[in-house]
Amino acid sequence: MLRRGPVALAALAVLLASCGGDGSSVARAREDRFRGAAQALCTAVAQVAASAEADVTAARSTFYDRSHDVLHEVARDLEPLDRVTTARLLEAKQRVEAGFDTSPPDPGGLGADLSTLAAAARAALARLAVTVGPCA
Amino acid sequence: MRLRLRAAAAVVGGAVLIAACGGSGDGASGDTLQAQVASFDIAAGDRGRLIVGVLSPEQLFLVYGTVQLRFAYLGTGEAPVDPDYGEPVPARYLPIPMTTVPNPPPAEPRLVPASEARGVYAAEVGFDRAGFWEVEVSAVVDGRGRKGTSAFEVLGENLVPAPGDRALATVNHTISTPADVAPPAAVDSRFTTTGAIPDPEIHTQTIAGALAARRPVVAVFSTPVYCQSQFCGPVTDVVAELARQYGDRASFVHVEVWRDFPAQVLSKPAADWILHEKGLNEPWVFVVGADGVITDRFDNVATRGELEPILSALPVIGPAA
Repeated sequence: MLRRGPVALAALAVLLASCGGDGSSVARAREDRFRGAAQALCTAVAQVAASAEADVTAARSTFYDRSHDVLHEVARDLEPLDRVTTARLLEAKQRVEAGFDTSPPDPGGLGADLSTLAAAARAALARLAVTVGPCA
Repeated sequence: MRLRLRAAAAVVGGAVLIAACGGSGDGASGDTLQAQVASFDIAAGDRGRLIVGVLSPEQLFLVYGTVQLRFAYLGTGEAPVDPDYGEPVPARYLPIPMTTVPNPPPAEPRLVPASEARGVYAAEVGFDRAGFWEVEVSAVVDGRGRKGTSAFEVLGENLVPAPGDRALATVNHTISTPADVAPPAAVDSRFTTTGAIPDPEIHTQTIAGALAARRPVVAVFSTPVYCQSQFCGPVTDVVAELARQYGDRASFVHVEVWRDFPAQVLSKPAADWILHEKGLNEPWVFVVGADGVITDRFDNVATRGELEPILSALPVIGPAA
């Protein structure tokens, strides 16, 4: 597997919670981060569902503060195992990023893209043996 | 010292967890910052830009203002040494491209969520020997001094083309490349998500063609979709913006890293330029003079503030043919 080299800043952010723990606590912390990131996507979906600009702003904060960096970590962990599922995750993530960068924002499109990303994240996590339920 | 050297070895081995947890602060967790050297391909010798990302244990990004960096040599795996920090060096804040910075920007560092701002701190430093080093980051945040450390490796020589080297006359795919030669996603991975190759300004020329025409070149090696750093997409965007503004002074070329990401097939130009014995890092931005010699290179983060002075100093030569 092609090694990517030094871990990027995003990885640093999501490794912090693991510092100082034993192996099992590190694994649990990792799973909690992964589930939290997936659940945050569901929150973001709900936040754009109201189709109000203020909710798009909240969804953007939710995505970038609670999900984005962890999804990078998920992709890094999954890439050696399943590049196709990794690709789908990263493609779905990039669509969401592009959606948030669009001005004016399109809440309907963002909602659909966030839902797709949430599904891609669940699939990616399933490949890492981390179970996450669908968005309510 | 032994713990620090293990941390350095772990960085080399890819176990960044230990290094990331190595922030030493002042003992109390509230004073601790987590630092991560974000530079690639650091080599002993000439001074160059070193960038460091800094976060709190709560995963807030340290942004704005200035921090102080001190460096200590840790030795090698065979010959560790007791660290002895040098004099502090100020490091300026570099915002991640395409993020909003208040005007005027705050004078002092702050800890903020990623959605508000994200960036790194940069300093021009040189390392006199290869081996493992440690950087200590010091910052005053909300009136309180905080510190963090990160171990990293300095190589004996660069593994990626560096200033002073001749640029490689590689032939990248462009929007004119037939689909039976290379899929559109091999020109820019964003084709997979939008169905179109964006930013024609950076997808119409090849590095080889620009060099043959004796034009300066700004080449960005990145994969906006399959990047595993949050910097890739924005770096490509800032180069595209500059291409629209300075296309009469240089040729701008985006080289998509992956010909086929799921199949793990690199684009040949990317492999030629940035694949090395330790793997591959991206994004990279290289600036090449009209004489074909690399004048600047930027790893991981490349800002308009860094690139624009270089471009505005170039003579107007007209757009590429």
